[in-house]
Amino acid sequence: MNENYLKPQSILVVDDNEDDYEAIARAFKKVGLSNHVSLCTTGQAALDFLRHEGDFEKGSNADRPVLIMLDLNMPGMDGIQVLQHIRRDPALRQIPVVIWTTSSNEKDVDACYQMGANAYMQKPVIFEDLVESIRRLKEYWFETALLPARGG
Amino acid sequence: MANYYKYDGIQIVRMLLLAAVYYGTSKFGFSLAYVAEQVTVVWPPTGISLAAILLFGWRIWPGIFLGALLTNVTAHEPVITALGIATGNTLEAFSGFWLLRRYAGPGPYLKHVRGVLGLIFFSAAISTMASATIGTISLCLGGVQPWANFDSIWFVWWLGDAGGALIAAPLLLAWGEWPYPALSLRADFEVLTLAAATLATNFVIFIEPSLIGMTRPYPYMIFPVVIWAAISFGQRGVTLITLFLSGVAIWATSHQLGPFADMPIGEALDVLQTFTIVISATGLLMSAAMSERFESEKIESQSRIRLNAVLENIVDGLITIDGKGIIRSYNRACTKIFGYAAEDVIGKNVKMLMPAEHAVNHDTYINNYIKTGRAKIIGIGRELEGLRKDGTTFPMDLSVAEVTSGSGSERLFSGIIRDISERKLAEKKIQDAHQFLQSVIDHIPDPVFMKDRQHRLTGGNKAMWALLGGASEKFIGSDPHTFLKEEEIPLFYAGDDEVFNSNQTTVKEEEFTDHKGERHILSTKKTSFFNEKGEQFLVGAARDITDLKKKETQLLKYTQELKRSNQELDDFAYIASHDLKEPLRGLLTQTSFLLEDYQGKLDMDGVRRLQRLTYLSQRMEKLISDLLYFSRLGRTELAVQETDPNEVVMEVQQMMDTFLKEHQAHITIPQPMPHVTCDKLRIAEVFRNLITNAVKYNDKPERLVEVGYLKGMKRPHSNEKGAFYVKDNGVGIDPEFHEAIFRIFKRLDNPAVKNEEGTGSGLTFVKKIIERHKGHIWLDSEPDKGSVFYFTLGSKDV
Repeated sequence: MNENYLKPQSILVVDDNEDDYEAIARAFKKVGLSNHVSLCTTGQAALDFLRHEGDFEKGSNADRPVLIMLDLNMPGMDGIQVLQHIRRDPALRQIPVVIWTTSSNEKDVDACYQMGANAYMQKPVIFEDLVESIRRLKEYWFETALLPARGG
Repeated sequence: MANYYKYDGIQIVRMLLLAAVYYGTSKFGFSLAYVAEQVTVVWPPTGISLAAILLFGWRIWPGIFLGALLTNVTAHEPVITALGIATGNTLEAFSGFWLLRRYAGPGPYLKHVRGVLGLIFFSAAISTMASATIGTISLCLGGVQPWANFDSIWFVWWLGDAGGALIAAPLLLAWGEWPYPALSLRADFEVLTLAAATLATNFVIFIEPSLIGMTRPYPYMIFPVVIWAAISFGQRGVTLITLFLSGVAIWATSHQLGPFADMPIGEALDVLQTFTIVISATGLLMSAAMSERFESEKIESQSRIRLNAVLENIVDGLITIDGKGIIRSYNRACTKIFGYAAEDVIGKNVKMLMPAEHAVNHDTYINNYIKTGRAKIIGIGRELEGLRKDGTTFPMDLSVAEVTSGSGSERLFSGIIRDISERKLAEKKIQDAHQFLQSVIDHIPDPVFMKDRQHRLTGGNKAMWALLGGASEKFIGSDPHTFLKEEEIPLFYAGDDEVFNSNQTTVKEEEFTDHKGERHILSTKKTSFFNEKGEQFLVGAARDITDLKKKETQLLKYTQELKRSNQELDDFAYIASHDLKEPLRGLLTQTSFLLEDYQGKLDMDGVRRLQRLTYLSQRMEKLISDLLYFSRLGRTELAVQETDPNEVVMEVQQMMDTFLKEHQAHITIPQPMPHVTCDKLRIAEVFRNLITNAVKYNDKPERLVEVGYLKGMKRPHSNEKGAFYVKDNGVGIDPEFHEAIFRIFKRLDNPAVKNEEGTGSGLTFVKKIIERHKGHIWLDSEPDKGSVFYFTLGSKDV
């Protein structure tokens, strides 16, 4: 049993599409991932959230997430730019980032790994497939891998 | 004449003989002495002495001196007088020889008029004065003769010596030299006739004039005989007749006969001697003149023979005509050229050797020339047509010169004729070759030109003149400014000079503004060459690439536009399908949630409809995914490598194992396929798709798929060496759809195959992949007969 289960570990989902978010949240529930999940719908919001800036100043005590699921295709700052900022920020660069996107474009895949993404997953279209993907994500990141002791 | 430097035995014998003869003849002369005992008008020794010196050289003189001394010592004179006279006689002979030689050269004297004149004037008339003067003075001083008789003695002495020099000397000179000509029969007869005439004439003159009815003797009757002798027998005839005449005259006169008989004997002898001298001189001059003429005729005829030999043997024909056009001479070469023999044409008008059109005017030509002196051909030479005996004509080179004939007044023209048929033929061939070359050059659509070092055009083709906008004559040899714009000249010159100086071929683009002001871009290849005189030229071939350039630029623009538009299309397909997926995913998710969340609240129909919605959304998702993949196939680079297609098919077979077993399908590779350079993964996809189709669209219980490579199988006009194929025993495809099946999402409505899963994009991917490899795909299929899909990979390996 992974000791990570003993602590409340939060996950940050960055996605502009609320349907997708809803699907993820439901999938998390279905696979029994009970961690706290935060949602940011823009890249800027995600960075503010992580740095406890802007709208998130008040919640400065909130724990930083132990895993970020990042969509690429977003209005305004896109996923790659967000990833770039995270990897440049000494306070954030240790957080594993899983790219969670519709795109299967090799260019995007390569660019993300180059920028320091920890995994690149394509969003399945069919919900059952999505649930399966999330199950594997959970098994890997929360049951197999060891995450940083404390996010950010 | 021999020159004796030593007195050898022969010379001494000669001297003694000379002295003896001198003595003998002088005694005969003295027998006819009337003025004084020691002086006579008949004195052969003078002539004998002169002849001896002329024949044997001046060193013979002691013989003369001895003869003269002996003669005078025995003529009742004091020795001192005899010595004086002998000295005078010797001097006379010596000076006669010396003066003659000075005046007339080394001889022979009798054969030249000048020699005879010298003999008459110097030897007979002048030098004899020395002997006469010294001799007479000696006689008078010695008291042998009185001074009162000086004049008459001197005259007789002189006359006697002169007679000796002109009668005896020529006789000895004429007959004293070998060889004597062998007389012919005709000449023998003439000799006899002449001798008879001489005898008769002498007889009539001196003995019996009445024989031919004459009352008086006429001494000049001898002239014809002497002249005859001179003409026919030369100096030998003349001297003999003179001797004979002299002898007869002396004998007749001393016997009171002949024309001089009525004078006192002394006077008669003087006159007679004078007469004989005149006859001798006349005859000698005459024969000398004949001799000269004979000599010059001989020389002339020899040179004519030589000239004829030359003319007969020269290769060129030579014809001489007179002012009336009559052929005078015609050499052997002419016979060859015209076919007529010389005797056929000599004496006829030269017109017979010309074609009619020239012949009719020929007389006019000659007359015009003779009248005006203006020559059309004389002294110029030109090419004309000649007419042969067989009626054929031929080209000839004729040069005519006016020649002055030997006799002077007559106008003669000589023509040198050269048959130039062969040369003409060769010229024609060269001309033909040149014309052929020119017409070939003219047919070249590109302008071709030649230039000299001054950048002037020396030749070109039609395309060139068309480009310059004018006839060739306007540009050839003219200043380059006539066809080049001032501002373009430096560049053209520099280009030309580069070729001239480097002697290398260059290809350059040149801008040229034509006469209409249109700009042309020419790609010009220039090469330098030297002609046979060593002058440098360049030959250029220009290609007008103006349109090509325009098209090239346009094409480049189009290509770029196409590239951009393709890129945009790819981007569009990618982005569009990507963005299409998001709401679709939402749709599916929501449908899933609906089915899940409202499980108990939905009736069967509601559930069925929601399931249908899910199915349709999923199908749409597949279509979009295929579209995405298709657009990616067009964008991504191929990862080509050396690939073993046998291995690829084996891997595909393993991958599809379950599917194949399900459908009872078997794959065979009858022959190993050659290796090929390609993107291995994509080609695997090609094989997988084709094999899948072969199995799927098949209604046979045992589905057979054959994969292989067919050497020599290829699309028409391609340079492929062979094609891969995938053959099945399936349902086949109506040829009507052979093209449509490659369209994306195109599915055939085939009742034999109930297939709901396919999107109809497999063959589209296959085609795309093959096209990315620059290959082709096509098929050979008919319904119920199975299908064969062929494809090539555009690779050089296969």
